[in-house]
Amino acid sequence: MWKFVLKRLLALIPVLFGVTLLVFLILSFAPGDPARTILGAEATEEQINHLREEMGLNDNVFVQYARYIIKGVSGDLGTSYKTRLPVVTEIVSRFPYTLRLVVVGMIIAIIIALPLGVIAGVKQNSLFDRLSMVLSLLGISLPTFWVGLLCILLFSVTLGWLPSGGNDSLKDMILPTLTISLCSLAGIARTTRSSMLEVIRADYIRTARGKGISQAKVVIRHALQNAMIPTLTVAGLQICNMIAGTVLVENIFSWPGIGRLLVTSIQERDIPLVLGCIIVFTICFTIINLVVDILYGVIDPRIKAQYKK
Amino acid sequence: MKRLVSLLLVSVMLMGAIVGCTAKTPADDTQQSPPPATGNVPAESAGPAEPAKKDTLVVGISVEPQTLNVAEVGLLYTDTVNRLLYDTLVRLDQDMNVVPQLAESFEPLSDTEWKFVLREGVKFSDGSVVTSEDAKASIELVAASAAIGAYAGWLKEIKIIDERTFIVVTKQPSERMLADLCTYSFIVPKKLIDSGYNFSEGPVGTGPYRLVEWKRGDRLIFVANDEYFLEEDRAAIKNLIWRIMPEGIARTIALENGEVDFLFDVQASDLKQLEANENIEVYSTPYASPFYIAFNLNKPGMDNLNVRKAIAAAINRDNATLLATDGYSPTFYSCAIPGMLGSTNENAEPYNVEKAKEYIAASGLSGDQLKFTVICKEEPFKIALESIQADLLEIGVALDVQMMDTATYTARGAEGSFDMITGKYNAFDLLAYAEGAFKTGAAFNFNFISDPYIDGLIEKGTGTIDNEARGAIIEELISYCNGLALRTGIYQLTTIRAFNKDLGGFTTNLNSYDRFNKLYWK
Repeated sequence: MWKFVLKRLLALIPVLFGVTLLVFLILSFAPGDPARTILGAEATEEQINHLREEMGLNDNVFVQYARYIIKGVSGDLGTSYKTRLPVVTEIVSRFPYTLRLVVVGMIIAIIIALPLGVIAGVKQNSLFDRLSMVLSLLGISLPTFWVGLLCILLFSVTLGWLPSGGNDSLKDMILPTLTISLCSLAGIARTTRSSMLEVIRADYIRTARGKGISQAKVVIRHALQNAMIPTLTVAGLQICNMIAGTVLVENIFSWPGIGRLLVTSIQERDIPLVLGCIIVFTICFTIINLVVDILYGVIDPRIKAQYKK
Repeated sequence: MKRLVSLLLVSVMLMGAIVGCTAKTPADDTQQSPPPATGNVPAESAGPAEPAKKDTLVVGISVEPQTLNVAEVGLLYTDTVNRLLYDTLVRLDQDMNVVPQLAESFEPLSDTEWKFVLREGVKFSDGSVVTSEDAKASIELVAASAAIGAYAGWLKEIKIIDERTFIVVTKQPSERMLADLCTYSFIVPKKLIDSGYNFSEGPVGTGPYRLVEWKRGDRLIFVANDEYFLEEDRAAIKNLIWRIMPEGIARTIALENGEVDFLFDVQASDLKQLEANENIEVYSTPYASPFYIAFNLNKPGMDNLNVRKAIAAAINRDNATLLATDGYSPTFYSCAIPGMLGSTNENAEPYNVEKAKEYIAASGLSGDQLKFTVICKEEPFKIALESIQADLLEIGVALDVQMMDTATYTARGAEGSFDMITGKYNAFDLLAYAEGAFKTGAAFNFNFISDPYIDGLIEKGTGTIDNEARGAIIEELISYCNGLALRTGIYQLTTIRAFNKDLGGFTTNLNSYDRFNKLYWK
């Protein structure tokens, strides 16, 4: 098992290379000069060229990238063009906010979606099933941005129950986490329902019922475990979607996380900061997928045996 | 049982991660505790005999200041924060008069020499006394800055007379020197400048507020400087929080909910809603910055004077402004905003569709020759351009509006990859404006024009101290530029602020320099 984990972690290295190279090239060839953006419109061409020389921006793009990688290997992800702070400092100060948002959002999504999906699957075509599937369809269809604004309008403006932004207290987290979890919740619920429908009709379930095992035990101990594989896959993907979704949610709710940092750094052509954020996202996505693969092994011993091979 | 234990352990780990991510860093513990997010102090903490007093002001802004280094950028948000932390030698008051600030007095010794005397005993936040050496180093720092060096381009040298007295010598007579000293020459310790100190990590200034903490991407927390050297300008509100809120509607809602007390940026589409709110006051005043459209004379079609005049005459500015700013901004059609020294509409083209059609006929161009692109980077300008697009169709001109981010806009603006460009340019007077907009090689010379007559008038005006004579030169210059239809005005930008009605003392000026230290809770 550990060999499997190590292999997957080592596979992260070429992934990081590929992603950072692609992003570096896109940003290098995109219109916009970082030196001009830093110095502003009043700077002379001479001053801009001088700064470009200082920053190494006049070198070949692959030389620039190689320089970035060599420094990156030693943990130096460069300095932000805008704030002149180390990229690592910027990211470390912002990442906990995003992590908090995503983790809590996922917990909410799973706590609500799993029972919803299970009950909908067990009681197929009931009123509960139909209602929950309509709601989950809405959840998947509604844009996150719109949901966030609607939540603010309803809970902050109309009802006055919750603040519209900030991060001073747990109360401030409610709306952003609800917003970010809605789409994931809907996706997990629908997938859980579909897998449950498949599993609940299996022979071994009929056998378990025939043996006199209670419905609750049949559903939870026998059906759910077998239905978890697709649900786990979708949950993993949804966490990745959530991380990507922070770009919108953090802007709406003024949440100072990595998503917002990425947006502003792209707009300002702050290449080191963009790359730093992308690296963090890539590592997160890889670890999430790895954890999902490990959990496959936990849920299904047959898969675990395959890993050991 | 094993599974239950594993599940429990995983839950504990997750909760630990969440709690750990919200744990205070050691730096937090050494800082003064951030004040409450709103201005309200619970009645019980104020004591039974006294009414509750508000000691905090929360301001919502859309853009985080880039830096707190005094000579790195020249952006409004950064400047506004810098004005809380630092002081200049002189400042512009509400009526745009130059008044003493760190300098106790200032007087001209000759056309090119100004003597400044610093106030006695003023201290920086690190306890060191402000001296002439600090002033000299600070002004020279601006002069050497790539971003804002133009605002001390007149500097020849600074002669130190004693600890508090120095003489600023300009290269030639410069009427703009004082206004420039009001704008960007924040005074900081020489020893820190020499050591390459990063002021963003810990500003050291003389301003009415001190920085307590900067939570990047979230907020800046300030506390009043109780020892501010000007007693009458000491901040009435002890704690000041700048909350960074990029989304316009979120800021508006936060103000209505009482989560913030003051909005530095008000979305035009929310103005009517805020005005209807009896707990909110909306303040608007013209700002010395025009929204204009400039024509790139290097592009086919744009090099045709009749085409430029036709476009200027075809624009219904009232409609465009109504759409973009809900009618809050005054319109104008000259290449320079009205009401300033030397401003004139002479030779400019007001809205007249028939005349515009005549100009198009006279241009000799038609069809594809009258297809142009215009680039912009701000949402209100894009909205105005959509109205202008319809206006120009009436005279047979097809306009493609291209909205882009700042970096792309700046790059394309510098390269000249556009037919027309929208922009705004703040300047304390029209000569400074013309110098930035029409002088050969100037940063905002989007016409890419090189006209010796224009350059000559700018040079002549810069060296003219007498106001009346200067005004005549500027008028001649603006009239000439209007005649060439280098750019056409659409509307004058407006400083708009919205705040809790219980706040008093708000002042600003034509350059949008808000004085937060003058605010108080009624």
